[in-house]
Amino acid sequence: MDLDWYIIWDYRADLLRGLWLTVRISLIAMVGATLVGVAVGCLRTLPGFLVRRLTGLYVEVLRNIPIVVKLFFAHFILGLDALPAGIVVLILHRSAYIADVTAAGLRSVPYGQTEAALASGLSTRQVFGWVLLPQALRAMIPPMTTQYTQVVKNSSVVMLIALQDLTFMTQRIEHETFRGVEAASTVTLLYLLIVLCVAAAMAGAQRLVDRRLA
Amino acid sequence: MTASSSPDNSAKPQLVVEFAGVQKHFGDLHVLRDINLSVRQGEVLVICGPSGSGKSTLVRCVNGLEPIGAGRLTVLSRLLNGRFPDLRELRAEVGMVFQHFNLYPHLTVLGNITLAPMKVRGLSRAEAEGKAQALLERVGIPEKAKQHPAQLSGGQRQRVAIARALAMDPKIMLFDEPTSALDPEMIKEVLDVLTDLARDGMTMMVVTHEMGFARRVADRIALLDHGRIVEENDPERFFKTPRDERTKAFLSKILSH
Repeated sequence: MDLDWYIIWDYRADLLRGLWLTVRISLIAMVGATLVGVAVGCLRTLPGFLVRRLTGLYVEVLRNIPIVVKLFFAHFILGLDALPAGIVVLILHRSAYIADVTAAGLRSVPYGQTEAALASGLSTRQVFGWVLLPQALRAMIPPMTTQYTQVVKNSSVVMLIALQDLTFMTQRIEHETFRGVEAASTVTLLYLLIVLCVAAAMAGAQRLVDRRLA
Repeated sequence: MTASSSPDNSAKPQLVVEFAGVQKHFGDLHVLRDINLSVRQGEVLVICGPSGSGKSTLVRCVNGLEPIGAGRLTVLSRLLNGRFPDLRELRAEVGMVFQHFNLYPHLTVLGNITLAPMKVRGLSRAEAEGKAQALLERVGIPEKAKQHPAQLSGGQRQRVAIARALAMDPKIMLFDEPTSALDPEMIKEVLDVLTDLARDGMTMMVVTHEMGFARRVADRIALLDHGRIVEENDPERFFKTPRDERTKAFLSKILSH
């Protein structure tokens, strides 16, 4: 096959813009999904029947609908603009998984911790914030690394509603120059780069938490 | 101390805890059967009995870790009946020490002791740490403030747990088998702290198998068997002239070794 890598250099501005959008969307979605997912995960471990049912429903519904369907729903039916639709859908989708990771992490903390904290007069929210979540964190970091890499990869669906992210730029290069192989290879490497940064950051977080809980 | 069933309370110290006909079930298991028991201010009540007799459940009802079934339970003038009583204020005034310490492993000793005073009482960090340091002095391990629970011996951990409970200035302290998870040589250091607390006038409910401690420190001893209080007496009479056959059987088993 005859390859022309100079085409990548010609498209460097487009690729960097795509990379920047992918990174921005991913970071916002990670933060948002973590906030929502951890809150839902905490609620899932509460004893109340109704709250358990409702959070269970939240997780099942969001986890079992394909992300592209949710994206089309948000953009074409609810009429959200492309960027907010993309971010909201990435947050909702991933928060369902993060809720499960959080619930699993919380269940790894012995129940005596909850009892001691409640017995001292702390509120439920304080028990989660100061006693349970800091301890659950240690068990949550490895699966959360997976969740965050999924956010980065899933962010590529936003090209379906015409957002010009990294994946969108592959298509543009392909359409304009028929240099799809070069474009896809480059974009693959760029995604890999983002995901490796995520993994490295999470490994650092793990070391920090391990040392504190040693 | 007179028997708790006496109707005349006017001249006596204030009632801190009062069980009146309390019942509790875990599914089919009838764990507490018609419990009538009271603790007055400054009193030390020791609760003993064979395992599975309901001792732990009894003290755990006092701060609402276990809801009661039928009957009335009054703690610090608050009625604990109903499905969801608001327990936070009560729990802030009731200290609890657990068999397995339940210290927070992610926090230092100081962090363990200062958490509730800062978050519940709103003390500043400096105030809370000053108080924590004084309490560590009192339980005999001031040098351990910066350590994590994992670096301490069992006896030291339990003393930190006691300091953590005392940091909230509780009006009553509950002890659920505080020495059962300790090596023999560490039991004394914890019992010494409990004895000091009792001498200082702390109101205490102590679930324990330490009969020597009970004899020396308790004002009254209650024996539980199958969820029922079979004997409730002052230590002198409890050990010398027990009324109930089961008390005699229990004492012969526990005192013979």
